[in-house]
Amino acid sequence: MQLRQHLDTDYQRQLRLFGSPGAVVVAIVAFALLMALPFLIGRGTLAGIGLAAINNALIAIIGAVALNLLVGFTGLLSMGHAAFFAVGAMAAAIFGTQLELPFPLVLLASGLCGAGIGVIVGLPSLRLSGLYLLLSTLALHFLTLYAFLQYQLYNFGLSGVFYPTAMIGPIEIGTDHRWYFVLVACVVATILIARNVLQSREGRAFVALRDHPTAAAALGVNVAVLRIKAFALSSFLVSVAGALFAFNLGVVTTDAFTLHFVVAYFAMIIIGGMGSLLGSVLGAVVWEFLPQWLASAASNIDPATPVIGDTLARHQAQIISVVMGCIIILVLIRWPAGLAGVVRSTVAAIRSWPYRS
Amino acid sequence: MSGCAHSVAVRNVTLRFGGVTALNDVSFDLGAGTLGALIGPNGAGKTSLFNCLSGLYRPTSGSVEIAGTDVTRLSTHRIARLGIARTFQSPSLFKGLDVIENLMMGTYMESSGGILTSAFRAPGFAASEAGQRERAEEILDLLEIPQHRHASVEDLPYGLQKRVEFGRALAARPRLLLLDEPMAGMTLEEKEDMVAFIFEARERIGFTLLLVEHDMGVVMEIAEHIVVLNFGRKLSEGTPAQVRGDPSVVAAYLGEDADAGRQEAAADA
Amino acid sequence: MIFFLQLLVSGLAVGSVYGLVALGFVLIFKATDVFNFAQGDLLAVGAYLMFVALAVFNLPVALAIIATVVAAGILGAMLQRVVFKPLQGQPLLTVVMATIALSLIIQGALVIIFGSQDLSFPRTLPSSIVAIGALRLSMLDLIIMGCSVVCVSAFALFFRYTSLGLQMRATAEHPEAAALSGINSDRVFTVAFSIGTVTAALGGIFLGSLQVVSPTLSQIGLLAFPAVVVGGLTSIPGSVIGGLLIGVLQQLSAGYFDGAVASVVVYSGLLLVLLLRPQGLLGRPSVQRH
Repeated sequence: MQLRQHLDTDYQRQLRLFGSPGAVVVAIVAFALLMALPFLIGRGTLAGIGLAAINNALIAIIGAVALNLLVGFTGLLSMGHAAFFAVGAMAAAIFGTQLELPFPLVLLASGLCGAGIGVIVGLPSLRLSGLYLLLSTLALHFLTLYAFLQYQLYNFGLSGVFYPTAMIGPIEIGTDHRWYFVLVACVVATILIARNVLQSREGRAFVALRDHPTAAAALGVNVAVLRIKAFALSSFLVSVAGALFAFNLGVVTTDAFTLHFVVAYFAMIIIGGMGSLLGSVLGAVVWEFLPQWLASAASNIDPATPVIGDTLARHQAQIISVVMGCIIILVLIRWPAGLAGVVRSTVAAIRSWPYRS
Repeated sequence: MSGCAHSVAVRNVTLRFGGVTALNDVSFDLGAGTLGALIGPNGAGKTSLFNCLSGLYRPTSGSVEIAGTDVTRLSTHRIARLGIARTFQSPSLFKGLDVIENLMMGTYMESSGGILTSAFRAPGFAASEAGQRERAEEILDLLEIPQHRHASVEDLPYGLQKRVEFGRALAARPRLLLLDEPMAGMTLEEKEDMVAFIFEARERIGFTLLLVEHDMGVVMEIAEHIVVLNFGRKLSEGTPAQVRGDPSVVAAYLGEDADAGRQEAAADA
Repeated sequence: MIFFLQLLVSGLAVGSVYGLVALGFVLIFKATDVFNFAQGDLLAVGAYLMFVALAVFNLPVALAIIATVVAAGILGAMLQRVVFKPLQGQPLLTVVMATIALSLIIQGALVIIFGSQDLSFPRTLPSSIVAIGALRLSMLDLIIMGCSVVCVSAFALFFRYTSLGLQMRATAEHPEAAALSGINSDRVFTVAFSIGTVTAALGGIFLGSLQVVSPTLSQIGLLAFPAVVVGGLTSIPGSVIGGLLIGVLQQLSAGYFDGAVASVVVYSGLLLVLLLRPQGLLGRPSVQRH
């Protein structure tokens, strides 16, 4: 009896947000740093990274968490990432630009649109093997882009879909500074939601679906329905990210939603660590910031330097692609758990020092 | 405490894929609460029969009734919800979950919830999780492995993995438990422990058991009713004594020559 | 009517390109279980290799084709050794990610080496016009169709009658039994990748002759996927038929409407097939439910 009570408290502690006084301290310090950051950077840059880039990274974190929930935790391969960003952007235009609904409502509505489309697309393909979802989301990618283009041309014109300044109540979210706080709030909410779902019956079932769907079915899991739920949750979050992306950018065209965009997010979760929330954050940050660091390092190389200088100047994006592609393959072969795995092993090694784990 | 165990009635089940006939007109009965065993040489169709019972394969013809309900055309998860749990021949633990989380997956059917409830920690969530955790802890205690609570399943030795998988099936409080070679790869002591656990679990939960097993000692110790398969056909059925004495069973296991040899020896004597 | 027939013929020509790429994809998938997302990029690689053979090394057309094919075969073998062999046994997710990464690398590398502008083959296959009644057909289209028929037949014969072909079929059907029978699966995998890359490269050579050589070839190569779905993920003849159907569908839509609509039609077709007959025309429906 006594033991049982002790364990109950133990598990409830696990479920609570801050498991120990130590965790609370860390959270407070992190919170303070996060709040101070925009004031520290101001209009300048920190190691070549400005507030605008940080905002992009925050949006990327939401996208990466959503993709990891689907691919890393539930094992469903989807090429629909750009398509759902586009759905979010399109819904944001309909609800925000055209219907002029309040911003928070626009975000919610965009998310729901994404979830709805996720269910529709998921229904036929999720009964079948995972490869079919990959193919049907590939089709979805092209069809959605076409729809977005038609929507853009019909309602706005060649220059793109326009978004008004976001307003939360009377406050205008017009500067990078203000966007930063809105986005940090959204990221925190996303991570909390993801964590709550993962530490629950559904979250365990997602992992079960990934690892052994037959055994999961034998335990009463309706595999097809749960896959659709995972897809809907992921699509909801991605579409919200899309709406945030659109409002932040102000003008959006289909150029933003290429297959390269899809691959970039896969790169984020692979390098960061599939099946890990920390991995999603790390991967998004690395993917968004590494090019900036490379660029500022590369700017030290005189463009006149034969071959390298010229190539760096003209094809920076492609060099990043090639480097990132190689890193992905290396990570897949050598460190399949990604950066998050490296962090975990390092922490474990430190904890058990001087013993080897 | 015992729930109502399920009876099993298999009627003329035939299973064909491509050119292979895995099961050929197999019929048998298993009474509610009976400890049954399914034996036969490799390739006899035992796992195929399990797959038919748990909805993974649909028989080409024939029917399967569990507790009077025709389950022949039902899907796996629906059959599971009728109170049937099973283990698999090859390890089927969820690698991304630790031991206790694997066991908690066993309680999936009994709990309810939904993504929104979990995402926003609606009232009832904590109680539900605590309940599931409590059941998992009970199983950990029953199987004497509480120290492995947070172990990663990949790091566990094979015998322990099998035990955890057994525990996961138990967590579902099944009325029909199908165990596919649960003792494969275990040491003698581990097997003895498992036999004891099976009896104890049956005391606590009260299920009908159908066990596929190659170790005849274990089978004779546990089983009250045995079904023998060979080349997809039912060879024999009955109590351990009846099956042991059945000449066709002896022939199947030891070969025709051994049987003939014995007859010759008897004739010479 | 004339318009329709001309579109049909050009559709079959483009379709045979898709068919070749799709064939390579299905071959790799069946033999090695690798879902090669970079198959379309291999088509682009083939086109660029041909360009190099023609423009940089000034080889005559026939020799250039041979050189490209050999280079592609070697590339395929190298890819298998360096990337896919270390990943053997990993879950499907990991392997697909690797091919996605490969796609990223190839696309980036092509632009870095060649730039993103359109290039043309300096000396192409004959491109005169053949007149049959009121029909104006391109000789190039006919040659491509003819060559594709020859290639597909050659592969079919290879699989049916050579020892290596038999080994590949065995490994594709039942890898464990094949290994137990003494078949060197390593060699089979390497050959499968080589051939898969070669067919994609051939597609690139043909497509590069029909159009310009540019990085957008990768995007066009993606159309092999609808072809594979229509034909059946596990059927080699199906992939060729699927390719032809997709090619015709694309050309007809582009001819009667426009290029963007063609894309929509093709991918809607893919979704429709997945909805109504997921195993495609010639694929086998799977026995298990999951």
